[in-house]
Amino acid sequence: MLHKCMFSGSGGQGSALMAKMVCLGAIKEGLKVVMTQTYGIEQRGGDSTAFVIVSDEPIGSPIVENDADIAVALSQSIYGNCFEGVVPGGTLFTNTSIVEEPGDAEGFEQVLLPVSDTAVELGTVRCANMVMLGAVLGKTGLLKLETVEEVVRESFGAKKPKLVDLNIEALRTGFAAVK
Amino acid sequence: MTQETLFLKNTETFAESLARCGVKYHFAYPITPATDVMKRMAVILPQYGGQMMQMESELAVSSALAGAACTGKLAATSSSGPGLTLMHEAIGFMCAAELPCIVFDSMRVGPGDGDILGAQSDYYVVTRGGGHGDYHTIVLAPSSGQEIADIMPHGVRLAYKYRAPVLFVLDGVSAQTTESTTLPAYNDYSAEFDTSEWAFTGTKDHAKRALITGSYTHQDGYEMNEMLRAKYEVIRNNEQMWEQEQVEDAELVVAAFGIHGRMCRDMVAKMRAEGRKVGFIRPITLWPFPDNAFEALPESVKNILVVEMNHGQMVDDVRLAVNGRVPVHFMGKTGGDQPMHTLAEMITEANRILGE
Repeated sequence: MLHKCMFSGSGGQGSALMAKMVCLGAIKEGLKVVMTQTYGIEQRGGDSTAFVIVSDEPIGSPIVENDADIAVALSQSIYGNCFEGVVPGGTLFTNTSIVEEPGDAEGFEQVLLPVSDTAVELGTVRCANMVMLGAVLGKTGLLKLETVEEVVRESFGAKKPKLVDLNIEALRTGFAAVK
Repeated sequence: MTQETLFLKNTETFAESLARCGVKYHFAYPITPATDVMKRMAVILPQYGGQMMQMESELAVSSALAGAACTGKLAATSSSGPGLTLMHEAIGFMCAAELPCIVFDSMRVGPGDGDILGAQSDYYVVTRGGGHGDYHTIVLAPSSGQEIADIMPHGVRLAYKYRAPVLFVLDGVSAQTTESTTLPAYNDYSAEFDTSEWAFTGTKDHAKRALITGSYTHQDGYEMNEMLRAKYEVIRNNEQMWEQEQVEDAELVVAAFGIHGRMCRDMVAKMRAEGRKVGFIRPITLWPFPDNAFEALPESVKNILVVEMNHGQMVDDVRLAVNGRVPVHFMGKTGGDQPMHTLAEMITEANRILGE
């Protein structure tokens, strides 16, 4: 089992948090995982991509080189990179609340979801990343939904307990949207 | 602390591994991309009865390392190229005075202050001693978080066994990579070693006055250098470490350390799947350089490709090791937005050489 993922968005949208949730969940499922991030001067609003490789064997190259089988584009400015970064047969998850004119996918599948709008309906746009993560889990079976819910409880439970229910609802909503 | 699998940045794994192997003292001065080590040490060392101390400069850091080592205690530091350069006065002293310590160099783009992006630019400076005089430091180059954790007990033992600084070098890309790593349970490996013959322990329990010095005159200096020469010969003969795969029938061997070494595993798997006879050698000790791996190459090997994140440093040691028997090619770069070659570029270059 080997998945190469790229989680992209604008700084503040939580693409790196999505990646971290996947990594922590993968460890819970006994998998190996490696994460690299675009490396530079970080700021809110700038492009941000976290690359994650999940495998049941020791991971060689930690670098995702335009060969992601799972790509997520939360924002317009990074969409082109994600579109180019998907390997044939892979899946691109596009946030159509922000990406206005998604390209025509050839050789790979594109899942179009207005996750920012869905998040607003759930209470806050800030959980758009978790809606999208739920969709990724539902579509690809990358990890079990329950595993990531457990990660959410452990990550937010101690300091921000009121965020647990919101994020789990967001995950489940995204999961259900692709089922 | 018990064995546990955590999701850590490799700099943090380095700190955890040090602490779990019994290193209780960490002196450092902040520098990207190494600061996470001292940050983690500041948090965790008190749990082990130790302490991290931020010093006022790198010179102070390295002198503090020497001072701690004089008492028989193993101390560590973490820095990057520009900081390491400033530490070489005390590292040279520690080699002459035969004092152990552990130094972490998260390599970035040089020369000068350079750039904070990862590189392998410090190969020369770490494998050639670094300061003036005829000396070497043992240099370990793990290529993943798991290897950092697995090799740390050996690093601590090497420092005490040879009473010498041991350097760990990681390219900044590997250092900043975050991955799942199984950390060992706590074990104080320094407790295996008796330092009473040479360490300062105060005035009460000394039968005679101990002298630790890096200054010698005439005959003493000659004898000290001969002693170091003999020690380095023992290290060369006994401590070479490397990983190799599919070399037995290879036509092309790729040699790389750190992140490019790690990428070789994928490279060889992909090329073998296409019927290309490629193998790799990944040095784990940069000094002593694993000459034995290259001296034992089979007749089938017609070319060697060395890949580095610099303009060609380790390639010199590969050429010395094969001594003209096999053509040695080089690809490498440093600086820029992408300070390293991609797997695709490595495969393209390997195919070009195979097609020549």
